Amino acid sequence: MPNVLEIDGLKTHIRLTRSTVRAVDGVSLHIAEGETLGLVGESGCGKSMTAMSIIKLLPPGGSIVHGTIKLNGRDLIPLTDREMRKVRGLEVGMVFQDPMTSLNPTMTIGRQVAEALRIHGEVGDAEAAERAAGVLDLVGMPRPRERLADYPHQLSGGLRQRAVIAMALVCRPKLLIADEPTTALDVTIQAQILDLLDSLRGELKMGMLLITHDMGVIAGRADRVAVMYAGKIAEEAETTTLFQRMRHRYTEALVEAIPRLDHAAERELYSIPGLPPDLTTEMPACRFVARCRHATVLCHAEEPILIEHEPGHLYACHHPAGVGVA
Amino acid sequence: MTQAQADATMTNGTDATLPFLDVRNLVKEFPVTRGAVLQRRVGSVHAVSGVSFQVMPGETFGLVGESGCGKTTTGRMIVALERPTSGAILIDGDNIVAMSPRQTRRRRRDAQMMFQDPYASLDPRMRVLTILREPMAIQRMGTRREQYARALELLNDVGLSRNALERYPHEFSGGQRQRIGLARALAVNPRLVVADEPVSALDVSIRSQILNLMNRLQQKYGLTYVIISHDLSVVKYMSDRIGVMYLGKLVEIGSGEELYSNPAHPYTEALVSAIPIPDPEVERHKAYRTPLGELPSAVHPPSGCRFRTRCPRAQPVCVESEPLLRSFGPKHVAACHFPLRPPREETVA
Repeated sequence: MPNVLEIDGLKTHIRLTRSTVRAVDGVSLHIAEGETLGLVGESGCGKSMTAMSIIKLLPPGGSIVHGTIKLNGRDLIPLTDREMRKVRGLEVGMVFQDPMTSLNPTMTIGRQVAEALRIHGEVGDAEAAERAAGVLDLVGMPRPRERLADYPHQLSGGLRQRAVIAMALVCRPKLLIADEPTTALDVTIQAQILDLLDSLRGELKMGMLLITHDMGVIAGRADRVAVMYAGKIAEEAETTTLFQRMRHRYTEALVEAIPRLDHAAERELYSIPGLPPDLTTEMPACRFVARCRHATVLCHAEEPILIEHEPGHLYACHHPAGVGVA
Repeated sequence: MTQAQADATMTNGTDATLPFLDVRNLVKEFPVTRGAVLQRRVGSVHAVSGVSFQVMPGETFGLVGESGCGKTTTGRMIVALERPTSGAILIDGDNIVAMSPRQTRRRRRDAQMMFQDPYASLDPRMRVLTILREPMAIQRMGTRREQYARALELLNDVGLSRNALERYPHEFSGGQRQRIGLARALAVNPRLVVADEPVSALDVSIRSQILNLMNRLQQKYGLTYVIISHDLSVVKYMSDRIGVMYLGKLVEIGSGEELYSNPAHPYTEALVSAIPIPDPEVERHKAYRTPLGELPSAVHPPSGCRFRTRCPRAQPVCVESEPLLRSFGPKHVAACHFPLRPPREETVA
């Protein structure tokens, strides 16, 4: 399968008044057609900034300082704002955490879903409305035709997120970026929305970048996973491999720290001490060193490089779990 | 020993065979009004509709459910932040609903709340010392000197250093703020702590720090916990028993293990199956039993069983009559006309 997205050596910095946040500090990723890549990490690890770099919607002071981002083979970095506007919506669809921030409260659902078609495509109002109803039906909106005239506040959270997904998909993009798409929703609705994204990805043969902090969502929905920590990829592997043979000590600690519904409550969860490092300061050699149970002098002295140790399995750790004497 | 500690030892003579918290047929309705001036009452939101449960001393009781199920309102009524429309809340045998405001204030000492959002629940203009001292001052506990000593002790309990006392909330991370929130809840030596989504606002790597800390302090002070969360995994990790709420009703109560492996109510089963487990093997072989559609309005809840509009097992009887809680095993009750397995006996629990 050809790659829809190829990111190479991406560095995105945000300049503040007195300091610079190195939010993304050398990230390389690729997503094939029809594939879901899960990007997992804690808040502030740079996962959302990676996504925002792809569509070049960075916060004030933010800029891409290094790397290439290729969408269907074309580098997006040199594109002008005008050209990027065509990429967003037409080639890349976006779904964010809070549907209310993606929807305009003063516009009907029908107009919002059809907006991208009217801007990008050469379709008339009638046809745009017709296709909007079709997409709303596709995303499982009950009585789609009646919904066209509704305003966002008339819909529940789950239906709003369906409307946002409809907006993202109306131009049939090749890549869908879903940044915490279900975090603001109830679990039963979360399952419905994730099912929907899954089936649409298959139907439209889209690549999907699924960004989440929830290892459970990743386990069920991603083909491959990249674990991000403090602006860098710590580990990357096919989903089953990652969960069965996780190597990076951060991945391991993270999974041990999560309460699991299918585990007995008797055993105590692992507490990862401390906090992630401040991305405005000088980084230690290994970024996880201060919180790691297995850190040695080497981890303070030498930066672990992200290496493909087995086919498709990359990690950057001097003392990987389950390898030799740990 | 500080005065505050002496107080705690004296009042901790609770009878271990009687429930410390006894919630009886609790109802809360919020008026829905129309018109800016006249505020005509046009209906009510039935937030909590007849909820009953008991929590034993030292026990952790979890309340789970989706948004709008009434779990937070129930918690707020237990700590007297909200007044029930009807029903009774007995804390250590005394009905706090029937108390005068003055008595209520004294009783607040026994039941404290830990809030969800550590950014919104701490006054940004107060130093940590003031934050911790305020509840003691309101309860007129100890001298300033003793309050200071107690504040230091609390910081030590929650794993913060003493120089935190002079700092402001914005200088702390989310996890540290939640530690401060827990310290404040414990300042007046409560015997019951209601924790509303204690870790939902925190990062995954920080959550277990707070959960384990809460467990340690429960041991140390013999606390009774009511933990409210939408996250069944968190509640199961913390709780001895769990109550599952749906649209203002308790639909099932049981141990976490029972609810996970032997649920009796179709809603519990749906909730359990919707929760993603961080294991691709488990996830890929899982049959999702997602409830159909969305939550009905709490202004006009469905007649009979409130889950019937989304339930795959619903029959005409579910429209007509409300199911009562029946026993499905020791410490396990559920309210369903067509449960997933037969009830133990034909008695009302």
